[in-house]
Amino acid sequence: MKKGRGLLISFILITALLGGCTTANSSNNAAQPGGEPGNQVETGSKNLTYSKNAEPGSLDSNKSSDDLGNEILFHISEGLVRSYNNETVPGIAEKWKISEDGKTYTFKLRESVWSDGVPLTAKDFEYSFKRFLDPATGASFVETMYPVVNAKAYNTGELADASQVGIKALDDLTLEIKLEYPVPYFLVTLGSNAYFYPVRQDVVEKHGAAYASDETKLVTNGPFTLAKWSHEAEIRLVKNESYWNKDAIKLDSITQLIVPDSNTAANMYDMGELDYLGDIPAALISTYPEAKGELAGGIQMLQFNMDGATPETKAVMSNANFRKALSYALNRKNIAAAVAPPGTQPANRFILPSFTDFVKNHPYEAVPVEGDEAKAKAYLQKALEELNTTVDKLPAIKYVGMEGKNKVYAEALQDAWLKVLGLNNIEIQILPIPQAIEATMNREYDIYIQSLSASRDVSEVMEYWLGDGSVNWTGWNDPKYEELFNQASNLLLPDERDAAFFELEQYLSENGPLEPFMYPGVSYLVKDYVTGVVKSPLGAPNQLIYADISK
Amino acid sequence: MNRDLNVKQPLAPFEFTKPGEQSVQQLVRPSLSFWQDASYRLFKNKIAMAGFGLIILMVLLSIIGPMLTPYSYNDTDLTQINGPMSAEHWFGTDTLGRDLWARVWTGARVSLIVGVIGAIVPSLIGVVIGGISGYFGGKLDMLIMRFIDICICVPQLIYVILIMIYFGSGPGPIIAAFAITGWMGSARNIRGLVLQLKEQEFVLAAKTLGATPARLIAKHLIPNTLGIIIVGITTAVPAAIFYEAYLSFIGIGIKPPMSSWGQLVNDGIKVFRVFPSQLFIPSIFICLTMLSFNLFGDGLRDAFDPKLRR
Amino acid sequence: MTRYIIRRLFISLLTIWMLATVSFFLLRSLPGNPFQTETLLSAEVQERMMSYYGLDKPLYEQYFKYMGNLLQGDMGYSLKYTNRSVNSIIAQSFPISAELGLRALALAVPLGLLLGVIAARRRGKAADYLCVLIAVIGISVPSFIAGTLLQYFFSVKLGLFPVAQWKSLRHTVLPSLAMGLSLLATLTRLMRASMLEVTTQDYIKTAKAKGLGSFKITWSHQLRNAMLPIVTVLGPLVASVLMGTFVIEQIFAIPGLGMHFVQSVQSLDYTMALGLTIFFGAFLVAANFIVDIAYGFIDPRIRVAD
Repeated sequence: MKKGRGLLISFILITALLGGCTTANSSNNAAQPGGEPGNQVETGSKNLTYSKNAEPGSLDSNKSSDDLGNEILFHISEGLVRSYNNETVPGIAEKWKISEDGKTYTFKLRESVWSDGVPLTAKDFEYSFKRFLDPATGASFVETMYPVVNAKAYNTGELADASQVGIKALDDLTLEIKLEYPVPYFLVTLGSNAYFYPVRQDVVEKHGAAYASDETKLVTNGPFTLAKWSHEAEIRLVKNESYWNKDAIKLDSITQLIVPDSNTAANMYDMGELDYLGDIPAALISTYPEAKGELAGGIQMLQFNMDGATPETKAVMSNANFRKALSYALNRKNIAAAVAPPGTQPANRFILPSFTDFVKNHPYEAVPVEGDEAKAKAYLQKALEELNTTVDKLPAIKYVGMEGKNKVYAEALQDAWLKVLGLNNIEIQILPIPQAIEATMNREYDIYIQSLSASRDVSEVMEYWLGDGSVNWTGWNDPKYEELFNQASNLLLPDERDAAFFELEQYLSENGPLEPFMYPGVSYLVKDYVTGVVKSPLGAPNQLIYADISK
Repeated sequence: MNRDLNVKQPLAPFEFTKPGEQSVQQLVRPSLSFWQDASYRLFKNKIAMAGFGLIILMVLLSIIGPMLTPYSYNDTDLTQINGPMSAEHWFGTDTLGRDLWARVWTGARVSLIVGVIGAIVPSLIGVVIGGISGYFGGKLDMLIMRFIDICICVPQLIYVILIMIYFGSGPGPIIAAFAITGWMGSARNIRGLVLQLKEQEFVLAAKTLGATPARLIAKHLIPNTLGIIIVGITTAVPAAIFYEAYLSFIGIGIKPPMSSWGQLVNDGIKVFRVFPSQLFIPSIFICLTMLSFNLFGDGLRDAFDPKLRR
Repeated sequence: MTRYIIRRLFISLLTIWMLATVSFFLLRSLPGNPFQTETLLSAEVQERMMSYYGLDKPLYEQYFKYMGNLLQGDMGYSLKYTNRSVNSIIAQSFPISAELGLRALALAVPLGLLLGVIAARRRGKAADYLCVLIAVIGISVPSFIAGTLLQYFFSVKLGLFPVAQWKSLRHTVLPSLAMGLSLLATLTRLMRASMLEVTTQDYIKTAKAKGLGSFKITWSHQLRNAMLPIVTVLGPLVASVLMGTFVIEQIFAIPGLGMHFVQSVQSLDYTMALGLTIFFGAFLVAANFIVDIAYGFIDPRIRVAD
C-alpha cells in the first residue's frame, strides 16, 4: 500500500507539474514574436494594429481566392496599376497606351526593385500572368483574364504553347497585352485583383508547393513587406525601404491580428488593443455612435429558381407575377434598419449607387425600397389566377439560406411574406457554405439570397445572368437578353454604352429571375489619432497604405 | 447485495407455509422492495425533490407559457426591436421585435423534448451495445470497443451535416445527431459495469444453477444496472440541451423561425453588451434546468445505490 | 507484457486504419466541394479545380493514393490554406491547444479531485452541498457563455487581463479558466461519486475496525481505489482537451487546433479534416493505452495481460 500511495501521489504531481512546466516554457516562446500589444517598441513608433476574422487562404498572389489574402497582398505587392480608394492609379506602370480599337495595351514600367533588391522587369509580369493562366498552377479566378488573346485556350489546355497568349514583355520595361475584344474596364480588373501582382520565377520554383507559406518563402514589391506570419494569430507588415514611392508611406508597420469573433474584436478595440475596427457587428452599432458606414461594393439579390426545386414549384417560380409579389411585399428599408449590418442600404435597382454618373443620368426604381403592399397583393392575385390555384394550395417553397451574414434575412423575409401575402409555405433551410452553393448550383432551391460583387463596371452585375453566365444557376436563359448584352458590350462611347446598359437593366428587372434587395455595407471605427484609412469595394476591403498615426 | 435486510414494511408474523405455496425466493425478496426503497429515499432527499419540482415547473410553463401572452414566437415587428422588459413584453423583444416570453417558452418545448428524448435514445443504444460487449466479452468485446474508438474519432460534424442535408433541421434530426454521436460514452460505462457484475457471486450462483443468458440478463444484470442507467439518462438531459445550443453556436440547429434555448442564447450572446437581458434570460433557464436535472439525477443515483444507504 | 504491448500496438494500428477509411468515405459523401466559397466560381472552373487536385478520379483510386502517402507520414496539403501542409498546420497549432488544455487540466484536476474528496467525506453536510453546487454550476454554464462573460468582466470592465490572443502568461489566464471550469465540475462530480462508491467496501470497514483514523482511511484506502474510474475517464478526457475546443479558441482568438476541427469539415477541406481525425485517433488510442497500463500501477488486481 505504501509504495502504491507514493506512486499515486507522484502520478498526480507529475501530471500537474508537467502541465506547469511545459506551459511555462512554451508561453515564453509564444511571448516573443509579437509581444504584448501596446508595447511594440521594437518595430518603430508608427504601428497600426487592426484585426481580421480569419487567416488568408494563400499569399501566393496568383492563387489567392479570398479578400483576406487580397488585403495582405494589396499592402505588400504592387501591380501595373493600383485600384486605390475606388480609383485606378499608376503602379509599377508609369504610363500606358491603349490602341484605338481598345484591344492592345502597352505598359511602360518604372525602374523598381523587389524587396530583396533584384530589379523588377516586364518579364516578371509576363511570367506571373502566364503562371496564373497555366492549368498546372491551379488558380481559381482565371476567368477574369479570359478577354486576353488565347488566354482561355491556354488555361483550358486546348493550347499548350504559352507564347501564343497575348501577353508579352517587349523589353525589360515594356509590357504588351492584347485582348480578343475591347474591355473598357480592363485597367480596373488589372488594378483590383491580387492575381495580377508580379511573382518572381526563381522564388516560385525554389519553394514549389510551399511558396508564400511564410515570410521567408516569397519576395514582394509593394509598400510593405511581410515581416512575420504567425498562422492564425498575427501578420506583421513592415515598411518596404526599397519601394519606389517609399516617401509617401508614413506607417512603419501594420499588425493584423486574427480574431475570429467580432465581439472579441470590439472588446479589443475598446481596450485599445486595436487602432482600427474594420467591421462592427450589427448588434453593437448602437454603442458606437461615431461609427462610419460604407457600402461594401456588392449587391444582394433575391434569386429565384425558374426550374423550381420540385416540378410543383417550377410553375410557381417561373411565374413573373408571383416573383414580383414576393419582391413588392418586402419593406427593404425596415429590414435594413432592423437586421442588416450598418452601412447597408436597401436596393431598388441593380446598378450600384457608386456609379454616380450612371445613376444620375438614368434614374430608375425597379421596386420601391419601402415595398408596396397593395401592389404585392395585386401581383399575387394575378399570379394565382394564372396558376389557377389559391394561396393554401401553393406547394412548399424552399428558401435556401447560407451560413453567415445573409442568414439574418431569412426570418424577416419569411415573416414579411406571411404577413403581407399570407404565404405560410416558405420553408427555410440554412446550410453551410459549400452545401448552400451546391444546392443553388443543382437548382435545389426556389428562393436564395445571392450576394455578388458589382462595382468593377456597370456590366458586371448583368453579365452573370447570360445563358452561359458563370453563376447563372437560375434556369433563366433569355436569347433577347443575351443579344442586348452583346450589343451594349460592343459600344465604346461611354454615353451610348451606359444608355444601352440602362435598357438592359430595365429588361432584367422586368423579366429576369432576380430582384434587387440590398447594397450590403460595412461600418467601421478608427481611433482619432489614425488618419488615411480607406474602405473600398475594389482591391482590398481595408486600404491602409497611406494611413498615418499621430499619437 | 443484502437488499432483503432493507425492507421497510413490518414483516408479517410467523406462519407455517405449505410446501409449494410460495417459492422461497419470493418470500425473501419481495420484487417491489428495491423500488419502494429507492422511492422512499428519493422522496426524503429534499434537494432532489426541489430539482424535480423545478423540472415540473419548467414543463408546465413550457405548456402554458406561450398561451399567457397574445404574441406568438414568430410575430416579428420591426418597429419594436430589442425592446426592454415591460408590461407589454414581459421579457422584452429580440432583434426582430419578437416577444421573448413567447420565444423562451416555445423554445423550452423544443429544448426539453430534445433534452429528454435526446438523453434516452443514445443511452438505450449504449446500454444494448455496452451490455452485449460486456456480457459476451472476449473477441466480440474487443471488436466493439475498437468500433467505439473509431466512432468517437470520426468528426461529429460530418454526421451532423449529413443528417441536416438529408433530414432537414429540427428536433428530430438534432436528436438523431445526438444519438449517433452520444451513445459511445454510455456504452463504455455499461460495459464496465457488466464486466464487474459478471464476476460477482450472485451471477456465478445463478449460472451454476443453470440460468440461461436471457434470464441472467433480465433478472440480474438489468436490475443491477438500471439505477445507473436512469441516472445516466437524467444527467444526459443537460448534455443534450447543451448539444442543441452548441449546434446553434456553430450555426446549425433548429429550423427558423422556431426558437429553442440554444438558439436564443446564441442570438443573445451577439447583443449581450447592449441588451444583456437577451442573453441572461434564456441562460438562466438553461442553467436552472441543468441544475434541477443534475440535482434530481444525483438524488436518483443515491436512491438507487444500495451501498449508499446511511 | 511485451507480447501484450505488441498485440495492443497491432490492434491500435488497425483501429487507426479503419478510422481513416471510414472518415475518408464519410467525408467524401458530403455534398459540395472545397472550392465553393462565398466568392462564387463557375461550375466549369470548379470542375477544373477538382481535377487539378485529383479529386475527380475514382474514389477508390484517391483512397489508395491517400493511404499510400499516409503510410509515409504525408497527409498532403490543405485545400483551403493551399500552400500549407496538413503536417505543418498540426505542428503549429497543436502545441497551443495542448498548452491551453494542460493549463486547464492543471487547474481542474487537483482542485476537482480535492473538492470531490471533501464532498464525499462531508457527505450530506454543508460542505458537500457547496461542492455539489460548484460542480453543477460549472456544468450548467456553457463554455461560450462562461468565456464571453469572463472576457467582458475581467478584461473590458476591470482591465485585469488582455481581451484575447495567445501571447504571454497573462493572455492564458482567462481561456484556461473558462475551459477549466467545466472540467473541474465534471471531475468533482466523478470523484465524489467514486469516493462514495468505495466507502462501503469491506476493506474500509476492516480499516475502521482496525481503529485507523478517518483521514488515514481516506488517504491510504479510499483515494487509491476511487482513482480507478477517474483514470479511465481521464484518458479520453485529456486526449480531447488537448485537441482544443472550438468555442474557447474562437472567443479568445487562440490559434489552436479546435478551430480547424470545425472549419475543415464545414469548408470541406478534405485533407485537413482527415489529417486531424487521424491525428486525434492516434492520440486517443495512445491515451487509452496509457490508461490501461496505469491501471496496473494503481490496482494490482488488474493485470494488463488479462
